[in-house]
Amino acid sequence: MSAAGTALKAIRDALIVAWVNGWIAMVRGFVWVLSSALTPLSILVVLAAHGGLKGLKWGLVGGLIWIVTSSSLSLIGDAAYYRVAIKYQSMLVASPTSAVGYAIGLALSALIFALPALLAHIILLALLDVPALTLESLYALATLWLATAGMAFAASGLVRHMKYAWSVPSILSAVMVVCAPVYYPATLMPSPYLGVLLPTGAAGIVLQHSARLATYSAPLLLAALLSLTAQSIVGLYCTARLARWRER
Amino acid sequence: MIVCENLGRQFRGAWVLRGVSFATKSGVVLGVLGPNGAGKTTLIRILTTELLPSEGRAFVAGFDVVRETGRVRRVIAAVPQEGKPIDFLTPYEFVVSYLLLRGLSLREARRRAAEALKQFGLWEVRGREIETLSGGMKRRVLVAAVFAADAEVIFLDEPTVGLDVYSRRVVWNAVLEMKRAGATVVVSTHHAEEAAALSDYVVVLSRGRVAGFAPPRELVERVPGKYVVEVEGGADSIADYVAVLQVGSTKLYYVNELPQTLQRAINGTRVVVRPKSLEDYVLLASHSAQGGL
Repeated sequence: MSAAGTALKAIRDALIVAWVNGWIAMVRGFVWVLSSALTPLSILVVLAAHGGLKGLKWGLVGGLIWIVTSSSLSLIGDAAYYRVAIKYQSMLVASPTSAVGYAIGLALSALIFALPALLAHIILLALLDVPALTLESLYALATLWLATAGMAFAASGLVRHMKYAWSVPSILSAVMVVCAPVYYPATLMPSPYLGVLLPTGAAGIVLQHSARLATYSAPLLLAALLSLTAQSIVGLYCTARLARWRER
Repeated sequence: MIVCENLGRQFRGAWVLRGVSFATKSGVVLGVLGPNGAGKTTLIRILTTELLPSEGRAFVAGFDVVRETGRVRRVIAAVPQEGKPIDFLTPYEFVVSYLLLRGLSLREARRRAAEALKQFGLWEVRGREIETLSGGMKRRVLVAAVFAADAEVIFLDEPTVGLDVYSRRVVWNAVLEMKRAGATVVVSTHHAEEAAALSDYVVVLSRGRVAGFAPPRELVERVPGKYVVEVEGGADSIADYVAVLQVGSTKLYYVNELPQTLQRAINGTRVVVRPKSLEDYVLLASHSAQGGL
């Protein structure tokens, strides 16, 4: 198959997996959508109660990052479930299904699941006249999605028992959002540049600046964007490398 | 069609498969038979390109499973051991999506899915979520998907475990149907009667090594004696045997002459007399691998 043919097959497979694991799953299990949106909504309410309008804005911007991160990381559970619990991945390995398409499809399906919560946040931000969705912040969210999805796909390969598959994403989401400047400014850290080490923090810096919740220097913004670019490339590399599906 | 040359696989320093060599032609059913832990699933995972061998080579449909992975994957389909369909989908959605992932057009996927679901007695439940179906129906959904793929080589790893007699028959019929359509079907099982009923050739694995490769009838002929007398209790009540095997509290005597041995055996113990079978070959081969006969 030519390179273009391979790429088209990967895109087609990604869309099929996203339809199955994202759209159909969402339509049949809307309660899961609610449960995935519950944590950022809870934080939003707490921040709004204590911080008023400013707290609400911080909650909405942080919520966008939380939703993208936690939905991408939930891929750990899905990928491990398909590989370990029901052996669906084994069935696809023995077929012409594109490995990269499968991995990207799982990541896309996680995004489909997150769409209702994301839309709710975006609408609220628009109503509050917060300019959060600039070109830079959209780029930050997209690269955050790629970086965390790649990380999740790599981590899913390490899961040997299902009991870890559902708990690890929640722990990782909390760590990545709390340890990085997502709900607070990077200036609270010993050095604001520490904030760019995690993709969540880098995205937080870009979004907070776009939303005018914090003002950061141009070098820090550049560092955040470069960090996100690098981590998304690493994420894609992890996906492509680990998605070969063959156990050594 | 399927060729293994000195194939081996190591896990953490221990060989679970070693020195496996055999070759089959196309359009046959190959039974992979052996007790639990014999290496059946490891062999199938290597042949389906999921696992790299530690040594040796294997070819499926003429393609090297290590060097020509993409080509192998285009011509095979597999139902893995303990595989289950995605439970929130309907049987129709599952089969159609599987066929789409194999590269079929939506129209063709729909046509083949409908055909396969009818053949496997699943048409009436095509719109129900799979989680509401019985275990046998779920297994049939998997086999239907693979059946509809119309692949050149099909691997079914213990496809009838836990199935009722009806579902088992449906799967058996499907295997024979696939063979009639020209496919090569590899069926792993630990049930000798299943392998005997379905297979043109059987490869018997014991502790990761080939303990026999031949048509099932030939393997049965290799079992010593003509009959098997099973005596529960373990007392040495039969003298004229050509081989004997202890399985738990039961002794299996392989004998050439039936009437005389029967008279000696019936002495207050439960005795079963039966013709020798493929199961005896597996039992003797497993025993032999453990340092017995």
